[in-house]
Amino acid sequence: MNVLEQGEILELSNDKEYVVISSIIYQGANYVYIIDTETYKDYKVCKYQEEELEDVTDDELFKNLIFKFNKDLKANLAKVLSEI
Amino acid sequence: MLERLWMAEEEEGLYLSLHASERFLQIYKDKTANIARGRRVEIGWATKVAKAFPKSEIDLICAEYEIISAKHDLTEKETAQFLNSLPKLLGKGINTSELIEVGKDLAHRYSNFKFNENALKSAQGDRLMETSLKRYSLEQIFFGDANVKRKISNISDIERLLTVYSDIEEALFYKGELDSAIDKWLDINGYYSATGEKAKELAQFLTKLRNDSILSDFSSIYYMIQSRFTTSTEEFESRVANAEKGHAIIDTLQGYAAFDENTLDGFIKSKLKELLADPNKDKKVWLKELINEVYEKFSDNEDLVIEAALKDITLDTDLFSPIDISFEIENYYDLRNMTAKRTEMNPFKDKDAEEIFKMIFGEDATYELSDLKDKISSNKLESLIEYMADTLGLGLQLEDMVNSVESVQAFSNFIKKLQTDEEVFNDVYMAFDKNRDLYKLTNKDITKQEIIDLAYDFDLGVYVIITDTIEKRLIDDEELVTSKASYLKSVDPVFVSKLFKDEFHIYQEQFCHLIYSYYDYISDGKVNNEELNSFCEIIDIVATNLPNVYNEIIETIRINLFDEYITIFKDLTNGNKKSLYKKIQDGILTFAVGYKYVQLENFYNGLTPYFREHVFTEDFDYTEDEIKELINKNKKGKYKVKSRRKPKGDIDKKKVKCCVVMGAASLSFIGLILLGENPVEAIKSCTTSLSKIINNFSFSVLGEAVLENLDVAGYFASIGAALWGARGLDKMKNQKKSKTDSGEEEAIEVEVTPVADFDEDDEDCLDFTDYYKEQGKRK
Repeated sequence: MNVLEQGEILELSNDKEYVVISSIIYQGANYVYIIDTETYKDYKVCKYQEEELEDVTDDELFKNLIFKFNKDLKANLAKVLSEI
Repeated sequence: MLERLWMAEEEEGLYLSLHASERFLQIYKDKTANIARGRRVEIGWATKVAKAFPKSEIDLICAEYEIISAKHDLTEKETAQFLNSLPKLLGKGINTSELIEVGKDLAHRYSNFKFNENALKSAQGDRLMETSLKRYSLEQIFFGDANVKRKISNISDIERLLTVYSDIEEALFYKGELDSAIDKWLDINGYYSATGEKAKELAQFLTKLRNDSILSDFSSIYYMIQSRFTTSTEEFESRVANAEKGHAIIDTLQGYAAFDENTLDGFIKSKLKELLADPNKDKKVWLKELINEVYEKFSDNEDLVIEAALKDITLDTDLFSPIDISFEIENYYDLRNMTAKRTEMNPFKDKDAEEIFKMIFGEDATYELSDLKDKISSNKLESLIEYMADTLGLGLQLEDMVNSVESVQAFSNFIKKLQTDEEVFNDVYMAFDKNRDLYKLTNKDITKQEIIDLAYDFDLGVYVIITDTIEKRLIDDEELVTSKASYLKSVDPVFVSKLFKDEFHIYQEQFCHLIYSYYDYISDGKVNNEELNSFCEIIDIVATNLPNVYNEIIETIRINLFDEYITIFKDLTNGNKKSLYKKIQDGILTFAVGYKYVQLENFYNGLTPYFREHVFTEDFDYTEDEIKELINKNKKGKYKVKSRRKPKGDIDKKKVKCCVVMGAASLSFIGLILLGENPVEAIKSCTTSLSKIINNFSFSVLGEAVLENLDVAGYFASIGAALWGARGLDKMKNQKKSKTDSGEEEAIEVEVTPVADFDEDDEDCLDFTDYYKEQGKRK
């Protein structure tokens, strides 16, 4: 399965650059939490599939993912920052 | 007949067209089949050759061939070499297909001419070596020379050179010139400081040099270029990757030069580097500031020397044209002269506060401002007083000032300041001067030249022009109109707009001229949003007050303005006669259909009230509310991943580190909101945490200056706004206002249901503060 990895730098079709803050597999799909590198304000919670990111629009799923990203980040933060 | 015709051809230099030859031969094919078979092809070729070469050149080629082949028949290779020498012989460029035609032509003229296309092509490398590398120095090739005819001026030229001639690298090294040639080439073409597309072009070329199987042989050239920018291969590659996105090359490939800021050139380059590193910087403002700084810092140098150094900026970047720079330098000279003149004429010099006061308000003036009210009005010094209020930071209007006892003291203090603070004095004197000069205009003896001179002064010019219009003295004077246009280039558009708004009913006719001039000003270069809005505001005012004038103006500017400055009109304004509003409607539809919500939002927000009223009419497919909804809806989009990479080099790593820190903080905030925390409290809580994080982390570790000046609370408010926006309008309907202790509405409270599987007992789950604190200490 082709997944995005934490710490990867992406350029999207809106011509903006983002960093993958957290990437998890949930219900068989790759979900990512990304944030832009310019202002850090443009965050996205997206499903990644076939080189395409799609905003998560389902509110319940969004909430679930936020907390899963949070746990993932909590667990991996030290690793991510030390590896960079 | 056929023979005669051919002879005539050769004697007169006439050639039949291919079509005519075919027909001719068809007619005579029975009688002259044998002759024709031989000559038919030749006529065709001859026709093609004739198009590219006059007969004199063909004669020269033939003569040359006959001389060379007189001693012995040329081999295929020698024949090819002969063909390749033709450009030199004729002194002009000949492409391969033309050489092939010449070869075929000669093969039919001479039975011993051993023409072989493949041999010709394989000899191409030799030809270039012969014509370009051996005969001419690299200096000539790269920078143009009368003998070379053309110079290597862009990436594709050098790329072609490298691709075609596989042994060029060795040849170039042999010549021992590549190093300096590459250096000069990068410099002269502005690649050292290239930005945008140009930086991208260079980066792509470098990437190609490194990766492309054909060009990989030239890796030493790649490293040669690399050495100009940086010493670390890894860093260089990461910077090339950045440049491929069109970032400033000097930012991404920096390190090529350490500028000595104590020298004129080094100082300018170092400032330029700062500009290129910050894409959000207003380049016009930057140029003005640079010019002021340079003339001040290097005042020992002659003006002409400084001027030349400033103009060299155009060699380093394509951000400015020589005209831009000359224009700003002229402005600087004007301002400097004016300042010098003002200082010299300073009527307040050596005067005490009371004397100055009386100079402004008259001999009989007292410090009682209430007594001065009429006098101020009659003297038209309102703007001076208002300016003083602004400068003093009192935020008072004239009325307040006149009625405030405190203001009397403030005014008195201000007058004192005039004597000690040159800058304040200059500003105030300017305001004073403006009013004094307006007085001049009531004097019928003022000359035309005086009016024109005044027009070049700061915003005074607008008053002068308008006042002059009232007097109807110079309305059709070309000189004045020219001065007006020049003057308007330096006027703050917001000011012009305000003036138009305030005075429109009085000076209708002149406003039309001014709008045209103003349009010229906008047409001169890129216009920012503020200027565009300001311009639209002016149009609104005209449209509201003078519909006929508006129709005339709008028809004139419609196509040009929007062609240049609102990109959506690019494809829509090819001279058709649709109304402007229809075009705006079309633009909205274009964006809406294309789901380009960012542009749609910008475009929608950029519409002035007047346009909105005319655009969202009954015959338009969308209402204004629907457009708003569409903007919101389309924010939930899909994005292609154009590129992905792991962080390489320090810049990338610092970038990712900052994102992770900020991403974790914003995630905490979002989590709190989704848990039902009051947004005000969530912002407070996260602000404290993030502030601690930022304080504990060394910026050199984070490497992002942006965090130093981050408005942390504002940051979380934006994150929250994006969260609410992204969750849709429906949710907004359920939101209620939250009030702070002071009773002011501060943020929106969101009704949410806590997530079932979230472990609420883990109080630390959403807070990374401790982690960062530890990290920060360790750093």
